[in-house]
Amino acid sequence: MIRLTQVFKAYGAQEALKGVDLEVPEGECAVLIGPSGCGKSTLLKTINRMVGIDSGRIEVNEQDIAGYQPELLRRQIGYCIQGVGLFPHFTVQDNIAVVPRLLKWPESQIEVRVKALMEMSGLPDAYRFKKPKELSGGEAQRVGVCRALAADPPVLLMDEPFGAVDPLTRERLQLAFMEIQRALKKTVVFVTHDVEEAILLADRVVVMNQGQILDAGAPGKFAGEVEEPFVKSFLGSEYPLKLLRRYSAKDIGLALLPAWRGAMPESGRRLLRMDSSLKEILSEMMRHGLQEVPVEVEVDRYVRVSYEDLAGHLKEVSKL
Amino acid sequence: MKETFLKARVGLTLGVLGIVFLPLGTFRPNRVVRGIPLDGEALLEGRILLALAATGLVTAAVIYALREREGKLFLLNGVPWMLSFVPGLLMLILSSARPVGGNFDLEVARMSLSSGYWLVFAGILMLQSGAPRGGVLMSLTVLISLAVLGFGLAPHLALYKEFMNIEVAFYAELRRHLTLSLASVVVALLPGILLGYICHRHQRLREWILGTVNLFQVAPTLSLLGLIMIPLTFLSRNIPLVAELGIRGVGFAPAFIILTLYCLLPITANAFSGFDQVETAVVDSALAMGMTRRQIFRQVLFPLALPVIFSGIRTAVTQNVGNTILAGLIGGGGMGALIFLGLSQSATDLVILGTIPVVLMALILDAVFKLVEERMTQRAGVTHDTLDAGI
Repeated sequence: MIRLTQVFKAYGAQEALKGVDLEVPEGECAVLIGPSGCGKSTLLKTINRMVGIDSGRIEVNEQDIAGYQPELLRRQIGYCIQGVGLFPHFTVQDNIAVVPRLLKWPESQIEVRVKALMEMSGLPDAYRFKKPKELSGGEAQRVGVCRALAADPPVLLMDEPFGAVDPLTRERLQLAFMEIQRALKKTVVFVTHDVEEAILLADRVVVMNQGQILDAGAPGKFAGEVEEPFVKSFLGSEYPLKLLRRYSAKDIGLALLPAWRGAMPESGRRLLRMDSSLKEILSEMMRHGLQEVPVEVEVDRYVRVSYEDLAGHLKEVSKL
Repeated sequence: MKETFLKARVGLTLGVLGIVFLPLGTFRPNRVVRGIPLDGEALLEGRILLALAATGLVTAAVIYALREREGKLFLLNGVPWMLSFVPGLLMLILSSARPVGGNFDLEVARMSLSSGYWLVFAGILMLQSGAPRGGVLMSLTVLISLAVLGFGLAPHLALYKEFMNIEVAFYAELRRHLTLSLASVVVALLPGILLGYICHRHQRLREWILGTVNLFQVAPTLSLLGLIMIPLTFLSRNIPLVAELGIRGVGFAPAFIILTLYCLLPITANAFSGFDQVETAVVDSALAMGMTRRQIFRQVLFPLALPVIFSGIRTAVTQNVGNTILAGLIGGGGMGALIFLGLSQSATDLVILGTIPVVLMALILDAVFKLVEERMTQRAGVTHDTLDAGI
């Protein structure tokens, strides 16, 4: 876990962090979000001492990081940045192996690890000997994630890692990352300025502005009434709509819903399933001007999902 | 107009000017007296076959240079190749040519190559540079001429006679020249790269360092030579150890020091821009993964900057080969010693004998370094690696 207590940092007269308190429990993903220059990247970099702090205390797994030699600390923290920063003269395998080699793992173990990571992130084995120049943006970003995970660090820092790729690739990367995170349960601090990305990936959304944390909580929390004016305007009036993408049909307790009685969906119409997101379901209602749509729970068994069910679910998560 | 034709026409013009208006050679009964110029007409007088051959070749060259389209005619495309032999052949002809009516002592009489000859030489190289495989053609031309000289096939050329006079010294000075120009680069390497790294890491020191090394570069080399003689003389007179090491105000030491300072700029400046062009994201992620500064330098910065650093070394070497000539002025040796001796004696051929190796050394070293540089760039992954190493 990560704990920051009253962290201050100034660059000359410019105060970048003004007394930040933050706690990220083990295995959770905290997403720092805010406009550019709000200090979110600086905050991230204080955790692996890429940025030194003026005062305050930062603990990683109950250890004050000030007591570490910076290099040794960084080898225990995975790091992944926008533009990836892969070494162009190294092969993919050598890029992923950087930290394990710094930690002097035996070569045989490194190779096993590299293969496993690449398989997990959906990269073909033959890519091991390619140079970064030969990869697409999305592939390079996957390699970047593999590299951050290589030495199996308990903590992962990600600085807008999916910022530089096209929207379709970004969505794929986000889903791949969610899957990896579900399997590995790392303690993650993730920086982004994209509200939808934060909603999708965060266990806890942390909204920052002008070097301070204004509000933090589960993504659902911000679907209800938000008091703080900046948070309200930054997350935007469409926030509940965006939040729908985070949940899928199975999150709303389909077992309790009545079976579908109306006419069966016409052929050619999109079939909604358990893993369809609530946003898709709402879109389908709007596309056909309906208040309720059928969702397939198992083969040939449909339940009725209504607009009220969606709104009710949002209301529920906003109370958590 | 296509570059090939343009170069061919310029080359042709130069050659024709050289043959028609300028003397090809100058015959001197001995080393000191004023010579008798010989032009093309004088050379061909009474040699019908030679005259015919020469006319044929010039005609072919004119047709080659003035055509509008690239033809498939084998004979015409062979013109640049045939021209490769001309400078060498001219040497043979000039070596055996004598002015009419005169009784000369062939032991001391000699034939200097004159302005017309060099113009023809330049014209041929120009024409060849535009032709396909121009590099090979030009090298061939130079090599044939060198072979004619080196194998003593043109014994009465002044160039050859001067060479025979100083043969032992020639090779010694050549070695000395190479040692001076290469060793000073080697010595400048470490400080140069280090300074470049400091410029990369510390913005405040950057201007100072680059300004200082730039000062060495823009200050006239000659004045630097003069400046350094004073402290070195002082040191060698007052500190016995310095004198024992053979360091004096003149000779090898000041030349070596100046040359080293002189090539600091290209090495430092290139090292700096080499380090600086490495993406920030790459260096940042190296740092964030827990590499020490030393590891980052050795594993990331240096290999990625190497092609750029190397091109700085290439610049330093080629410019040093030329600058080393000045070492001759202060008793540092090298080809400069021959050149300045020739200048003081008004012996043009000795000057040329000293200059040709310098030009050749610079060209050859440049080509070799360029080749290595290309290989390096490929390996650093800066250009797209076409080699697919996948299984």
